[in-house]
Amino acid sequence: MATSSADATRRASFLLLLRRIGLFSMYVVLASTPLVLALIGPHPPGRGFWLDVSFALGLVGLAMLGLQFLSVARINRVDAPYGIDAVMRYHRQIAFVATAFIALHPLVLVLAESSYWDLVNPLKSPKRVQWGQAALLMLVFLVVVSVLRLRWKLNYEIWRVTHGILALLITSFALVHVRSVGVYVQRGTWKPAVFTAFSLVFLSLLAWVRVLKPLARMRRPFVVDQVRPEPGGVVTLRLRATRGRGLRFRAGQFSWITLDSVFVPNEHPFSIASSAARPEEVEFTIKELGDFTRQLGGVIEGSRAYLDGPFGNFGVGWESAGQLLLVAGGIGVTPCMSILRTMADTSDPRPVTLIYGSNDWETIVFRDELEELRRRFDLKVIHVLARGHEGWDGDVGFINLDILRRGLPDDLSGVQCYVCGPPPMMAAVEHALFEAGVPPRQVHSELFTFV
Amino acid sequence: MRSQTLTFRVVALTTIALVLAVLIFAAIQN
Repeated sequence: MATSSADATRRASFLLLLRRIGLFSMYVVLASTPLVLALIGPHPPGRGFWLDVSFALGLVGLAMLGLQFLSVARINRVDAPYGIDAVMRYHRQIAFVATAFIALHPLVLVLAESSYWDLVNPLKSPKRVQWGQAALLMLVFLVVVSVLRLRWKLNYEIWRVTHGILALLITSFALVHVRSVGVYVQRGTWKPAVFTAFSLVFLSLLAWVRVLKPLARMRRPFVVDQVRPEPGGVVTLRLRATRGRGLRFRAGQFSWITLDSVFVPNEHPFSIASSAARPEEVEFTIKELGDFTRQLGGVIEGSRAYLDGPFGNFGVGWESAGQLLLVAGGIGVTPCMSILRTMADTSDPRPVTLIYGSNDWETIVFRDELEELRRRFDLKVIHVLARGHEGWDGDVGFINLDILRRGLPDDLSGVQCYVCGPPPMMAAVEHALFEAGVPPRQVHSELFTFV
Repeated sequence: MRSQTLTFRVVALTTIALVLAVLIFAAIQN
């Protein structure tokens, strides 16, 4: 059994690698499309190496801005190879590269050809240049605000709406700039039309995320069936499908929740904590961390709720693993609970160990239920407390290599490890698992906060 | 591989690929 599941894991990792390379290549091809379009068909002769580098930087930068809409469109088929949390992180990191390309475009231009200095002053520059200058200014503003929004404690909803509007304005201004300058998108050829068509595809992604997907969600409404306080400032929301078959998901996935209306910007991602065998009744257990989560305790039973999901790769391969090791820190236990509850519901015979780090005995979320689950199937729970108490003879401190070894079988080939919790804990646990000899492809993790 | 490391590597690879695309474009044109 261990060998066949190890083979299945190897095959799955190879296929995953191919899909990841495919998605990466698609990004590079789409970002370079304006350059290919510039070169095919009628095009002006070269204007000097560095001037053309400058034009190319601007065109690629613009395509990357368009692709930013794709990376937040939450299209499962697109995001799956990396996981939506990695795609969101990519969206943030590649934004710096796109901004650098766009900022380098005028810089290289004036360095390569001194006559372009006359166009630098936005008060005196022609309109076709002003569009680009305004786009660049807004882009820098957007990036700075996005980077500092947590430090400045900006309201998430206001930031999100502003971010969307600015992104739309920046892309539109940059498009007008490229079309009115017209170096490689010459008027009188087919190129402006192709350029506009490409732009419309990317801009329509925004309409897809903000209008079409919410409308589709309205056909699958849920009602808040129960609001249940849990230990340690945590609350569980149980949502029941009022129409349709509910939310079909794999244990370990997450979903975006919107309360009351599908069109409010108040939308947040949370791990699903309930059993995948019960799609009509979906539970989220949420710790009060930010503005939205603080409001959740006050949600009234009977309110309407909408779900956009499921997303995420966290639980990938758990169904075919020979043995499971789940490692959770604090509220990161929720996707693990989903796996455990699903196993209990489906009478799964495989052995599982949950190593669960909490602050103290009183704040262990699902403590009683874990006891009950232990009686229903082959589950071993190792609690690790940051602060022990008198009479506590279990583990105290952080989850370390010694504790992890107790959860690992002698033969590591069939074990799959799932780690979820605060980033420093995940980094330490992953490192320790590698040290224990678990191959990296058998260690799965999901960063818990990525918005 | 850790998810953060993976993202960072993909971002770095994308940057290299696109810088190359820009340079190749300018070289073809000139």
